[in-house]
Amino acid sequence: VRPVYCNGCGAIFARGIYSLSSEKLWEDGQIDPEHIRRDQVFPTLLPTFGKLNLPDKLAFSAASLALQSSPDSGGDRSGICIAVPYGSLTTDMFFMDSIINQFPSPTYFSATLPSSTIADIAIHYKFKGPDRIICGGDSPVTETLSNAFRLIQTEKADTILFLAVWAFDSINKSKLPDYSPLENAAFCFLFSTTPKGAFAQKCNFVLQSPSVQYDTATEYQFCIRLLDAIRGKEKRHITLQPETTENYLSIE
Amino acid sequence: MQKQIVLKSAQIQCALGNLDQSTDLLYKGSSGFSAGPCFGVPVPYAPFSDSSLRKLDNIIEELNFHIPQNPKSLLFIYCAAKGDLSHLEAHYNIDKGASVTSSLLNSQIHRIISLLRIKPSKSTIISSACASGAAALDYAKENLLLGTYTDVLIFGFDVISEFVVKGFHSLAALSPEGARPFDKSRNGLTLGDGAAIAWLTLDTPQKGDITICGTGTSNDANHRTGPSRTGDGLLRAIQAALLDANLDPSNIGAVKCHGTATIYNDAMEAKALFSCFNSNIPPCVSLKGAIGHTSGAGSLLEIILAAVFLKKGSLPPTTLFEELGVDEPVKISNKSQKIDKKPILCLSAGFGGLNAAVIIKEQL
Repeated sequence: VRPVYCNGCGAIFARGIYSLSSEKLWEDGQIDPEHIRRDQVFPTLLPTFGKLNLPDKLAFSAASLALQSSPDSGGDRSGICIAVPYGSLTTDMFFMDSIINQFPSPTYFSATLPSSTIADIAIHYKFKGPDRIICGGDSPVTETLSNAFRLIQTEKADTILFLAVWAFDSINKSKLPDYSPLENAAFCFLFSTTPKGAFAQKCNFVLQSPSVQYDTATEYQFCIRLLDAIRGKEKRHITLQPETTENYLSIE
Repeated sequence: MQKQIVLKSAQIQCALGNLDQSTDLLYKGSSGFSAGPCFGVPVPYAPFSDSSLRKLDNIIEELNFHIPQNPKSLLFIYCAAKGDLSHLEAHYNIDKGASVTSSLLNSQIHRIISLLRIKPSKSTIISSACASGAAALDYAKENLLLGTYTDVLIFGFDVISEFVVKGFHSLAALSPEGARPFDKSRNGLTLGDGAAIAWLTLDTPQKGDITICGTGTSNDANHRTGPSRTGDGLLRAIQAALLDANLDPSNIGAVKCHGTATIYNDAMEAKALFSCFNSNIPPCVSLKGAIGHTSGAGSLLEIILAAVFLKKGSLPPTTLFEELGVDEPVKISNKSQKIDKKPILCLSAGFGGLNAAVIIKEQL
């Protein structure tokens, strides 16, 4: 089994904005992760993300935070595995609005495919290896994380950027009063066969029971526990569910 | 003999009908295109014979596909770019009460599992745009080889809708005359309805079995919707698939191209093929002049058809092709081409810079 190291992490969720070595609280007026500014995650003078829609914006932000300490992690052997359980529905709704208004927007349309969520990350950081885009089904985050490790361990890639993104724009959320998506959040972890930087930690993801199904809230909480453990440099097993032992990520 | 990933059975539905009907018509050089307008856009399109098949309930009944035995552990993969958007469109156009969230791929998969009457150990959704089917095969192969599941069922589905037609039209990607893959006069793609289903397992292949012997994926890291102009991304996917299959380019007998008939896709694909094979590019075919671009269903659907071509020992004509319009010597023809009983390389690409290559072979 090839060794896998976590070389970086990034997260944007209700609690704040996190990288491996930094944490920022939300500023006044930023009441939801959707209000994230570009200059909060990326060394730039530009405050906005241009035309990026919400899933892409959150994914790109989390990836930028995870890649802060090793921005040169891209290459032919570097891939991206992303779980986007809500797919691009929020962008689909904006695109339908543009159709109804008689001006179908090419900008929205190009973002209505879940695979486009990884495009800007791949382009900016030159991740040219294999990708996996998982938009739902049973335990999509667990499945995606399992894919990330598998791609490295089967030598299809040397570095994988793993992301879990829950994104639903507040404008569209207000149009669907009966729908309660999870709060907006994006988590990103950079896994590689080579340790980079002082914070690199050896990890392994063990999926003893691949068919166990986890609900959205469980997978979201797992991402938070994983973030805290990686940032705290704790040597331990982070199980998918606190009370079980079968499926876990170990930090050695 | 070593166990391999065997394609046990499959079925498709597209503008030319089911697998048998489509095969027959492809070899006759038929095109399933209907004259436009399509949702108000003046372009041809390649629809199912009955538009009611665009609904999940009807297409699954039409496919009439069953796994003949109860698998020990089944992974079910739904591969689609958008799938069935009828609820979303109905909400905006007809009925505000229609459930928008029913159009989530995650909602669709539950309906599909129920309609297929299967009880998978795990279900998942691969949405790698127009490379979804090939990406799903890559994923299936990995899981079967590792022994995580004994069987994999893949269902691919994408259909023509107002959403998709107006989206591609806004990108100026649709041909006003109809897709002419690799032709000098090509000027865009034609959308098509498509559904495909395939059952795979790890088994000792018998004579005549089709196996998935190599898969490879890559990202262009170049553009959101357009292909890399150099073809280097697709080339890396091809090289990964060849490595996975333990083959070199001289072992490949034919290529089932992605061949969307956009200026840049076909030019990029020709460059990738030339980089891989030099001037010895094997016979090639694109199916999109006959069945249109069936998006997320497309690569699985076309790989299933390629399996038939391999067994027949010939490629069907590339419908609507007349004169080569790429700089490299791609062996494409509007006539049927004989091929060796060697593996076929199947290519696909999608939004997000995705590339995928799948190599299939027949057990001789």
